[in-house]
Amino acid sequence: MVELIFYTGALYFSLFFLGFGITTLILPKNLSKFSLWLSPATLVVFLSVFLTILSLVGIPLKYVTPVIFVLLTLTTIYSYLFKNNRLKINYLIDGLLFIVILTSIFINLAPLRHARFLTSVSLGNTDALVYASVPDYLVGRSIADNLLIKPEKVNDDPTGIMNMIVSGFRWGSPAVIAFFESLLSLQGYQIAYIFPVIIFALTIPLGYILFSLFYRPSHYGALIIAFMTAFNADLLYMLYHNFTGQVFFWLLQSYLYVFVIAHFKLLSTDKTYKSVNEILIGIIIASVFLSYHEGGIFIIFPLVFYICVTFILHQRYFRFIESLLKILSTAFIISVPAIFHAIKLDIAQASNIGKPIGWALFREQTPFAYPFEFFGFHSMHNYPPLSLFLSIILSILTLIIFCFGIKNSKMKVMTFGIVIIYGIFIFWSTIFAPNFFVYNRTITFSLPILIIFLSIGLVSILNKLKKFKFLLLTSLLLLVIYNGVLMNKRFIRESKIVGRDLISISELSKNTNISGPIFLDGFYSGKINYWRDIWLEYFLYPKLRTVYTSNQIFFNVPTETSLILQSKDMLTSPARIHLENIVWENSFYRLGNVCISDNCLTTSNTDYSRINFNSNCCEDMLLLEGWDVSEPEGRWANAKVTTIRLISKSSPTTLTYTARTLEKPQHVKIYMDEILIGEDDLEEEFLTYRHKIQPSYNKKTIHHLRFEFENQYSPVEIGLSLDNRKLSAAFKEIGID
Amino acid sequence: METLILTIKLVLLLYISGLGLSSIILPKSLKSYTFFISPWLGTIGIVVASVYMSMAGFTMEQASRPIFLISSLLFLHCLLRDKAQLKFSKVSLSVLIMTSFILLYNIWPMIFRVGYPTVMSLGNLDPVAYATTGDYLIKNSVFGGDFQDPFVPSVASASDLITYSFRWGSGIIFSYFAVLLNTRSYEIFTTLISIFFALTYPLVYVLAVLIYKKDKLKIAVLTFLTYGINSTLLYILYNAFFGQIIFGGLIALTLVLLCQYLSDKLKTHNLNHYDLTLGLILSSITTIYPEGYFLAVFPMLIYGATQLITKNVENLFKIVKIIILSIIFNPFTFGTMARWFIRMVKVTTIEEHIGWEAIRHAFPAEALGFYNLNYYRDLPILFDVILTVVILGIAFLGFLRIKNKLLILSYAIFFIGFLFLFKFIKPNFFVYHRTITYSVFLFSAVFSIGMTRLFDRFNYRLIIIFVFGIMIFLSLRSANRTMFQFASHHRSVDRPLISLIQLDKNTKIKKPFVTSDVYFTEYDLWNRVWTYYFLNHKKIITKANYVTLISEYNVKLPVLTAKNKTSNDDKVINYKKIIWENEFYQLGRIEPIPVSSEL
Repeated sequence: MVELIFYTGALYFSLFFLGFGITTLILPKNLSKFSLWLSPATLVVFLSVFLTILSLVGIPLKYVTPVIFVLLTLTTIYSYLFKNNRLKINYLIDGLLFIVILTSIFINLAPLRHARFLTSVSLGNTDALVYASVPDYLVGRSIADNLLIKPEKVNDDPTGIMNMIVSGFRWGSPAVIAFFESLLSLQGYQIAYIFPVIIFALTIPLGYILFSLFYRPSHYGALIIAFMTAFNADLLYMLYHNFTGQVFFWLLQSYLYVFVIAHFKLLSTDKTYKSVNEILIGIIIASVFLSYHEGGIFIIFPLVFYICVTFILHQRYFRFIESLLKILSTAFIISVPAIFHAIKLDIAQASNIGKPIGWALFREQTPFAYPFEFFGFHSMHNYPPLSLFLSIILSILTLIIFCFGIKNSKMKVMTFGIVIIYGIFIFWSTIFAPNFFVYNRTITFSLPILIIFLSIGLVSILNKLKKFKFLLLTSLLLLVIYNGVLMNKRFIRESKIVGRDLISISELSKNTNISGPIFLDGFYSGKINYWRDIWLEYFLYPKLRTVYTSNQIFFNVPTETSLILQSKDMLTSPARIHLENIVWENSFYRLGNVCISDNCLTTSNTDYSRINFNSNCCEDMLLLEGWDVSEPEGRWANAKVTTIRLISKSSPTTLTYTARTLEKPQHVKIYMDEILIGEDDLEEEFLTYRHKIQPSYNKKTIHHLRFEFENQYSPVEIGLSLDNRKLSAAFKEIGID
Repeated sequence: METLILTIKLVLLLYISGLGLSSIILPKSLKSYTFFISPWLGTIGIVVASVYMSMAGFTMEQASRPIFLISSLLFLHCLLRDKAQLKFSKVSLSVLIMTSFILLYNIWPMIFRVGYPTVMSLGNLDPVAYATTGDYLIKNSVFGGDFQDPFVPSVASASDLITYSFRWGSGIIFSYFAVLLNTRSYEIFTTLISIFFALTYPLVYVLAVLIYKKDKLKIAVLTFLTYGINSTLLYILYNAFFGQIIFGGLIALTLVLLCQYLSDKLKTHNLNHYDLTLGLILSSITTIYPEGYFLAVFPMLIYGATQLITKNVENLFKIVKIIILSIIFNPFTFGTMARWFIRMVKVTTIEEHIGWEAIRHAFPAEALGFYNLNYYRDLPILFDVILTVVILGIAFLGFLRIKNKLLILSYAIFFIGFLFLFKFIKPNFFVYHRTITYSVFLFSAVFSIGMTRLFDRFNYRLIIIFVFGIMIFLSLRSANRTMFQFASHHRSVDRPLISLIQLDKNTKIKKPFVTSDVYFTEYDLWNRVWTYYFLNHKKIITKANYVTLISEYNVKLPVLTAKNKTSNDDKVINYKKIIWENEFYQLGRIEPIPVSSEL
């Protein structure tokens, strides 16, 4: 717990301390009052760009981090002592923002508070892994190293590093995480979740800054922005699912608009204004393309729209066009391969919008959020939809407030540009090519900005109201907070964590006597525990390679000399196998050879003459073909022919099995060692069946049993459930005596 | 005629690609030389943009046309707005004529001896690597390539240039033009390299004019003699050292821009056209000729150090800006360049074996092309010394009157240091010779200025004509010797080899077949490597991959031989059944004979 508090605090503090110097030196005058909250974002932008450049050159970040840390520290000291730059703090508003930020961090770290140590956690998305593994990689190696990997290794991508670096060109965000990882001597899995939590929290004050630039400073505005952003269930959903790139985008997008507005305001009012802000804005755009290129169009379009429309309306603003060209040239120079790659990938993704979506529906009915839902007043992640009539009414009301906000916005052209681009994507993903996931992503890209306009609308309304102001504000905020808290509780309840058992496996990677590959026990059961498997790979790679269902095509099938890693926790362990020649073990895992050969089975002391499914240690070694995964009631045979082997120490005389069928008739023939020993008609409830085994059959020690079923039935076809498997019979027990 | 037409097309494409870009990024003080500089800026623009797109996953087939379209639009913009930059003085017109002469002089053997555009070389096999890489990048990008197909031995060359030496830019240049002209890279190789060489001469002339601040016909003629028809450089050209030839132009351009930049009075805290252009040039060098980056930058660092000592922060800041920009333009290729450079240093300083025929260490007279280094006997040492003293004296005379002395001296010291290192400390004739060829442009410019000063001082027409006459005679004689060697003893990708395209495109032959070098002790590497090049869509078993594949296939596979080479030593290939044939080759099943004893 101390570790969690310490590192969270250290990260938070260092974002401000290291960012203060460069922020106060480069900020235009009209933004200097916001230097406190702009410092972390400035730091993130500069780190994402310059660390990427250095990593592309081929320099591991562990060598760069100390140098950059010293330079940034000296810059902060220089700015504070020699330039006398100071933070301007409005105690009421900044105090409120600070409290909300702390609250946001506190509640979003809830699963870690329960676990009481630094680790990664997710609501289910396995992206958490890449945001742990890629920073680890960049600390010790570089982007250039990964780009130069020889092609024969391309398809095998342990821990998803190549997917992120080579296929995704997502360099900036992991580089920033790697910097702090190196600075604080952490490992990727320890920082992969807490860093985006902090970044998300720091987006909140940027929202308020934008609010005051688009509208004017307001206490109500600060309150609304802070709570609506911090507790927005849709935003929290993305955060809890480790869409870290998108979290970065929220910060960078807000930061960009702050700079753009300030810059073009000065450009239009001060004819002598000349600054390096074009270069800075270009660097921010570059950092977006380097960190999360999917969001690129959402920042370029409004900017270009704003400049062009302003130029058309006020033709003396030719310097706007010049400024835009300088901005885009700077962004281009810094990140042009990423920009080209973004264009190519985005076109490819857009053309695949009709393909199957690799994400579960948010809810069965209407997986598209209504406006009042995505603003947080109701959550599609917690509740089914309201009635259509009510949803429409509430959406209209919400949109009226939103339009009111646009109307009262000072920067209408910019506002329209933002609304238009997001509107196009919303239209495309709902009407033209319906795709709930693209729709949700469009909404969540835009929410931090759209909340600003809604807040402007709300504040404008509140300012006009004489009565019920407090009631309206409180009820709306309470709704948002309530849905946010519900989302958080769901997160605590359903989250997957990188627990101590998984972390303990790193002891194995330090063992110099063991060389891979190491096969995970899922091979023998068919059950996939993907979260466990990928994190086992994370902790063992690159010293040891693990083989599991997702990467098995790159390796040979396991043999009796292969090393198998088995969990000692039978609840989480997918396979029931018996390991011999244990070469390593700790409290959670053991590593050894599976006793699978005929010789091993016949000489083993373990009784393999009978299987009681789910209470037997080793059924996965004995089942051969035609079996489904283990279930609480037993094991289903999912083929018309299923085979199993049993070992008898003495001459068996009886075969017994307990089984049932889904539906009658179900005739089964039983063969032992290719000789028919009996036939049965199975019932729909579990019954025990016995057959005598003739003495002449009993000379062998290993006996192969074969069940041949006449029929297969599917639960969905019978109307029992939505299970569409083809099943023959469920077994509770099989044995020979 | 075909060659001439191709040459004109390539020159036109280079100018279309470059004029527009030049009108935007070339500093105002150099606009009068736009015509000479623009093809180089066009090349740089093509390389930099194509590398970006290739890194992003685009093939050159996808990238070339958009890049050309943008270049064309800029070209139109240049024609409409900036016509002034295309005006010529008498001297620059003379330079243009001499440039054309150099180009025609060097493609003459291809026009009259070969008769069609192809690859010609005095023996160097490098062209096959560039041609293969160029063709490869038409359909692939620089990342994610599959070079593992054992049946395609030619792909090893592309693998070498792309994944080992990172000479992406060189291959990309061929891809770009091949896509636009709908040809294969081998067809444009020799023409293109000759064009780049010819276009380097005007840069040397411009350099001389900029540092001497006088535009004279004498300088134009002298640089033509000492660079344009320099026999030492022609040897490099005719041996098809593509990277080196193009680097010669880029380093000359770098120095042209640097000289002007340091003379121009600009505010240094802002980025300007010089910074951007120089940064782009250096960034392009990281993929065209990676080892050349430090050759261009080290002298700048030496100069920067002198500015630090003299506390001229302004100039030092200029150098720093340029270098930082060259990294920012493409940090990845900067990193690959650094890796390659370190490898080259190790190879050059540690390894003893040099895979090239011995070349004696050149004295200044040979370096400037007055005496043929490669095909004339070595002069007695006394003559060498006298000529050296005279030439260096003239160069020194020129040096005394130039602007940017410190900058020129930095480059000169750097090159002289290299020469000294590889002559006396770590003797390596090949690196010495390469250093000579890298540095000739500088010595040519300074020498030309020195000679011009002498002529101006003495101003006796008859003597000037006499001296000029001797110099022209010596240079031409030396150049002709090398050129006729090339014309008479070249290797080319001839019609028989080109005819293998018919087999490569034959869709009926799908199974692997064997080439005759498996049976014969074949030492003609030229024919072997170009055979692999033209059969790159077929599965072939050759001397290169025989040992790897033989366990899977037996020798009953069809065999390909040239019709004029069915026997070698004591072995004869007799065909039982011909599956395919053309005028020059045949493929079919043969009577069994043992494979070469080398396998």
